[in-house]
Amino acid sequence: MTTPLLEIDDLTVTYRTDAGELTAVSDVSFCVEANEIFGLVGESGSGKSTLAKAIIGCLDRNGRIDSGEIRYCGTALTSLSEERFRREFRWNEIAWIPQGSMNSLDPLERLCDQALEIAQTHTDHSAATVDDRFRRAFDAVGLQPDRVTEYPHQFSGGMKQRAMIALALLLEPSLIIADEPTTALDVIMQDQVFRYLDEIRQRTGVGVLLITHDLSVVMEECANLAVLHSGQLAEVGPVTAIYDAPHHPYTRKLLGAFPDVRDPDAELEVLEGHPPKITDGGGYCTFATRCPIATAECETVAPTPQQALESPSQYHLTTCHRSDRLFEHGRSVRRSR
Amino acid sequence: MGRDRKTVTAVDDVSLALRPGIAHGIVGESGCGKSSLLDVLAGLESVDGGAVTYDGRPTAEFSRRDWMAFRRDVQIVFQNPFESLDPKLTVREAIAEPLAVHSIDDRHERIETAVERVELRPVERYLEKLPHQLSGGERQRVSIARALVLEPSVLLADEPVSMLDVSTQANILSMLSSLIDELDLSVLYVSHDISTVGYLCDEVSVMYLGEVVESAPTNRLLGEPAHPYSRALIDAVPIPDPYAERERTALVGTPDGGGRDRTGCLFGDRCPDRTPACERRPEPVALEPTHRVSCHLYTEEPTDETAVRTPVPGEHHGGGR
Repeated sequence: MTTPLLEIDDLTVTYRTDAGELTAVSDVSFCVEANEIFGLVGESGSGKSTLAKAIIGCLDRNGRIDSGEIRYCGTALTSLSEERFRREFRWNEIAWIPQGSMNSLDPLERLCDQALEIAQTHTDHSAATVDDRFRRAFDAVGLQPDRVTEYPHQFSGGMKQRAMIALALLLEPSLIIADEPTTALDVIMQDQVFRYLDEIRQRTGVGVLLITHDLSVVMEECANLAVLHSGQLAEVGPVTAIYDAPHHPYTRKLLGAFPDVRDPDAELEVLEGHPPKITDGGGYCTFATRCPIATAECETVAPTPQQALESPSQYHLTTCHRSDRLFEHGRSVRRSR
Repeated sequence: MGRDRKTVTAVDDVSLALRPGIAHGIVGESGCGKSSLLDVLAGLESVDGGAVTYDGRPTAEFSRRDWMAFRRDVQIVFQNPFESLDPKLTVREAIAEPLAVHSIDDRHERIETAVERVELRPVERYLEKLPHQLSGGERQRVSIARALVLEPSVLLADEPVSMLDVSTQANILSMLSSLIDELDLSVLYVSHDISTVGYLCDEVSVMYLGEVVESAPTNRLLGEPAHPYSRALIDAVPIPDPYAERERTALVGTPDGGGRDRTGCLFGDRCPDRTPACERRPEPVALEPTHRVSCHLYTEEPTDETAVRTPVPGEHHGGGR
């Protein structure tokens, strides 16, 4: 078996806060392979951005990895020094498109100067090489190469977002972490951005961890996905297996919460409340308080990942005490499409 | 506006009727003039030509008293609940404000009813909270309660769910949908996302660079979009189904306000179905009494044979059922 591009192995991340120790990510495991777009889905407060920051080694000062490992091509990133991580991995191997990133471009610097700064921090490429590469990256995301000398304010929102992707591509990374890359964009720009991202993946074989709350985007763009709720992994597996038979009540609710242009009159699934903040160390299912089928066990015992019943994929796991019952029930009510 | 003081025509020759008890959606990309249209309708911006008529009377002839009545009857919900609520006012104070402006008594009861209507329960627990103690969805509910407390007959909603999380978005949409029925509201709902418009609205108008290019009942527009721009907007919506074979939008670029001086179709520079006929501005054509489109694909007299192209209704995925 080949080594996966990115392995998240039993990862737990906590923050020190005034309200106590907050568990943001709890025993989460999944893998991202080269040449795939992997979707990481959850609401605000699910821990998905924390996970992204942990991978890139940029957790906030009050956050730390409590246990577990993050491996990149077999190397444990979690045990590297900051210096070595910065020199060998950040941007070179793993690039990050942060949330709201079209606002994270420096308004006072021309885009090509921002590219040069990144390249000089992480590599010893000459300025000419960087310029050439950045122009090619611009071309790859559908921007005119000549416009690398412009300032961010000369670009529209969608173009800034593509410029940000061009920056991420600059040092030819093998993995891109994209945190809500299209959330601020309208549907047409979103579709354009994904078209370019997918073309780049096909051409270079880059792996993409796509973090989003938009399950419809994941259903279209990704081969595999993981669903997070309050730091716990609810379900992970191939999108088709999860779409055909969601084995976690949270996934099922999320799947029904999106309006579908093909069926505008369908009722939307309503999901009450928000993911709770876990400040007592957890030790229970974090979805229990919002779950229609929770029992006493769900409130006192943390569920562990189980193979999803009768799933066509052996990588389809669910973390739910009641998934057998849900599955039996689900078969009879599943939407036929 | 702007450094060279160029006038940008944000909304051009828009004709639109909002009928009582109907939810009407306006869709288009960022920068197509949707929000400007709402501002004009709300009386926040003045018009350069044409008229806004409310209840049979042009707003241009409104007296101060008429405006007062209009502003009681027509309420707006804005896009960003993080900016539209005063951070220093409690929920009760925020909702009481419009009542005070319109000198309405028995405020206590009205406030409670409004909060109850937007499903912030138990009501007492929310009344004394400040915006920062509320989630985005709760804030948007407060904005809606603030709009409803005057018992308006018209609600103007500018992308009210676009800043919210998915689950919250679904909750607010389904709540709005029942409120529209329950209170018999007329709603003008503006969004770039035709899937939320489809869920909420009875009729849809598609706007491009300040013009309505197509309007039709929702199911008709989603099922048989006629204008190439409407098709593009529908095609660009991701479908929550891994088996759906959606083609990506063929559109490139963005709406170009600079091209407005052109005499031809405004969508011409981006249109996949462009023909020489598009050098002239298309007139609206009625395909059905309720389905109007401004596009040369549907005008009678093609200027040369390349313009003859029969669009096949329902060939796009919107027509699947």
